[in-house]
Amino acid sequence: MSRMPKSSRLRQLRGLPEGLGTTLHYLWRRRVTVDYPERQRPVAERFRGLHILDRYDDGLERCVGCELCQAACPAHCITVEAAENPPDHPFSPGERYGYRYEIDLLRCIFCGFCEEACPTGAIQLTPRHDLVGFSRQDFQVDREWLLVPDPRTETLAEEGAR
Amino acid sequence: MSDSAPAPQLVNVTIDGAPYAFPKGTLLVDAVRQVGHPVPFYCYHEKLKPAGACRVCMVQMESPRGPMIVTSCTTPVGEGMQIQTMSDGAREARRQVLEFLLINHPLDCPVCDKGGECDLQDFTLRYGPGVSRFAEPKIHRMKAHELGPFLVLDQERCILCQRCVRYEDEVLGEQNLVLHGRGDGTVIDTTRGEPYAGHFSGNNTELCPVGALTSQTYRFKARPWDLRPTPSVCQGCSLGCNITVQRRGAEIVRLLARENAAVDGGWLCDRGRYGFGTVRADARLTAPQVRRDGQLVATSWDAAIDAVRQGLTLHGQRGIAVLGGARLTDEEAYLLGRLTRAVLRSNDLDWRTGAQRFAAPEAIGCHSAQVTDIDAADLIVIVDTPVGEEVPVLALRLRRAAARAGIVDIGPERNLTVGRAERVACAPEDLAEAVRGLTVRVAEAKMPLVVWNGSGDGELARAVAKLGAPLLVPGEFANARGAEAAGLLPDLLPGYRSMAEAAAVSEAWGGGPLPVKPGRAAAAILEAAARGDLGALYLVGSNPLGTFPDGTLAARALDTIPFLVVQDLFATDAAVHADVVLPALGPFEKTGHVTNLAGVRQEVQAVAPGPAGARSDLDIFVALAGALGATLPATAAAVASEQQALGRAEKPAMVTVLDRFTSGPHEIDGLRLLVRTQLYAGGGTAAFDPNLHVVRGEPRLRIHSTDATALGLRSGQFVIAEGDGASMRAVIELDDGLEPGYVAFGAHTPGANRMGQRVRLVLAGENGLASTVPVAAMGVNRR
Repeated sequence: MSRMPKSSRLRQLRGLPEGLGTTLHYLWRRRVTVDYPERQRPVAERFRGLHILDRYDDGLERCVGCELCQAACPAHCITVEAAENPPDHPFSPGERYGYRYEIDLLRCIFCGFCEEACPTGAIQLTPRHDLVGFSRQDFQVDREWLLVPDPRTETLAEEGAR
Repeated sequence: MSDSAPAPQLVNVTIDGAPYAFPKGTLLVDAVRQVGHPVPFYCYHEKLKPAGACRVCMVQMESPRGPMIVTSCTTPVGEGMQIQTMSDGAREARRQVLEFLLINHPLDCPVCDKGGECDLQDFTLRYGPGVSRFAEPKIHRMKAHELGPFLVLDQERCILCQRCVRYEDEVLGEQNLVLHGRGDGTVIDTTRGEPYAGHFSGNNTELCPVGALTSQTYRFKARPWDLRPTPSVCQGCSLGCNITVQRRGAEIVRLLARENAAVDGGWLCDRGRYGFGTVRADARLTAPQVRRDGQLVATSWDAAIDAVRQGLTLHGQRGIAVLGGARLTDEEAYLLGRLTRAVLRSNDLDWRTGAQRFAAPEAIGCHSAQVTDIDAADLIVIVDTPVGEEVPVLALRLRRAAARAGIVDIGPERNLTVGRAERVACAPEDLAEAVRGLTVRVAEAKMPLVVWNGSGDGELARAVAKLGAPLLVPGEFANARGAEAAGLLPDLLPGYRSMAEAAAVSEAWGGGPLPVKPGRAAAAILEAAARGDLGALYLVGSNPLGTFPDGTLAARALDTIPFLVVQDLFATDAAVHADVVLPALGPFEKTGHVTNLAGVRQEVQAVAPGPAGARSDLDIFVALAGALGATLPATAAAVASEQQALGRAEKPAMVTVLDRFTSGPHEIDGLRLLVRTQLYAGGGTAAFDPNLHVVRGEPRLRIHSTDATALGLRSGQFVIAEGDGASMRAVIELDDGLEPGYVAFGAHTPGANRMGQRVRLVLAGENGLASTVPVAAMGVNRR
């Protein structure tokens, strides 16, 4: 290690009070960070985060499996297949429901085109943005994951657990 | 529609300012579209007569009284006409019509199967209003109304263009769908509210310009933009209608007609359109099976091929015979012939495992006819061939011809069920006599044509040949003609070569000696097997138990044969007897060519992978030859080029049509039993196709209503037909197309060919099981 000139050492020493000064300067200012995840910063009103599949107030699914979201998706991350509603316990109003609905969240660019294409307001992008998982598989989400709780069967406690 | 006038008179018309000339009689809608001006229409269709029902094809025409708005689909071109297609008046007229059409339309495009390929969507976007002024509640009608086994109607979406109604009337002549009600209560429905009964319901789904008529099998399966199309050919019957196979991912979701004017005229039958369920059927064989300790156990391909090799080596001294091949592609049939002759060294080879005796008209010395000859013929003789059941789309052409040409319909049953025809009722053994009786009329006709499925004896074949008219052979197997040309016959080599040309063929096949003594035909093979004079039998896509006219003989043969190899898609009742079962790939799963009944060679495409454990017949033949120390060309293309190089014989030899092939007429309670082709009764693929289960139902026994009355039988009643060999339960179906004195089972109905000579009918109980009183003992008079 080469020996530094004297003037440089002095300059190094000068850094210490400068740094402490910055710390002291911000110590008394308003904090910009929040205690994530206990506290979360509010996002913009039209922020596009994780998707949900919405239901009507009576609990029936809004999705009819029309695949328009799949057609609109520029990232090709949505897969929809439809099926005929069982007449005795229909999933959605009408003849048809989306029995398979999968999104590859790693491919999704959160552009919100699916939301725009949806004729029934089923697929919606929420402000939620905690996109975390332990494997790639965790990001392949299906209909069960996306669907909001059914008010007819699930309690609020269960919703919290989700 | 096509007037064959020698020099069509031309009419001058001005369209959007530019002068054009069209043949007299051209409809404005055609004229306008020909010169590249788009005009929307719903009710108009090239194959149907103009109706002027939808009113959306409006154009503006100058007249002495000023501009007129006319429907272009009902107005023929006239001299000096001045047409504006996009004038304000024409555009406004269309806009208003579209607004009216949408008044009661549910606008449920997201859930509609037509959404994405719907003319109502497209034209509304292009020509219609953006918003509706109609604020009142819409009229609600039946949605998801099941018209029949394959057809679903949504009456709310219907715009009453009447394409379906006119198709039923003009093309089918059946009137299965009609208009009910008046005004805003008008709806489409079946004529009497009964399920749609015809064989051609699926064409309605392609004709319907909106999402009113849709298919059960395609219901909610995909949206049009998901689909990838592959052109192919239907292998359901010997006509080979052209189809477009549409897949979503790897799954076949629907078939569409792909018009080939020389073959199908743009129509498909329901069997062809919906019979693609075999591809995903649960019953498909997925692994080779070998019999060990009396049980068939799944094994590997290597072990199975080795088991075949061992069995053939062990039992081959007493003779090896091969039956089948009429369901393979041309290439596979050719390779099977080469395998049998050059590797197994046997001429005991026959594709004729059913009642059909030959496939090409030349094979019995007739001229070959083209399908389109039906349109030009002035006399058509149908010899004992239920065309509507056997080759349905050909029957549509015959129905159309019936309006113009003379049709003579010979046999114990009405062969042409719709259309005017002169009936010559006769018993099966008198057919030859009846055919000979037409010699003079046929000779006097300008363009005579004979339609015969080739099921009969040598006498009938000679009588038909002697008529000297071109012949169409709508046979029972999809590629019988290809199999015949490939030489799957005991006495014919590929390309209709006689056994005398064995040397030439041997040279093409690598020089090994070929057996020169003609082999045995199917009946002789089965007799030899039943006697114990045959060592091994190899069934390739064939099941003589179901198809051979003498099922009793086939059953004895399969019981006795020491070594049986069955190569098929499904565990047929023949496979139960097998020592080795080889799972094969079927239609939609392999590439190659098939030859249709008129000799048109068409390409089929592999669009589905098939079960993981199954192999194509071609691969199986190559592997088998390899195990026996021979090398065969291993790709369809290589086989095709070899077959092409070999070509046809300069002087094609004829097929031997034996004089005897059935065990004689059976009788039921004094009524004669016929075994006739029924569209959905087949035992090969229809029996295992989940898409067709809904129409297959119980075996039906058809009987003339007077006989039924005499025997006290009602339609829909269960009877048990008890024979010496087999007894089977069937539903009585009244059919006055059948001559009195006969009853008819569907061909390939399991057991129908094993009833034996004496059969009696026993009434079955309400549940169809408990047999009670013999019909004959009910004290009713008998014939």
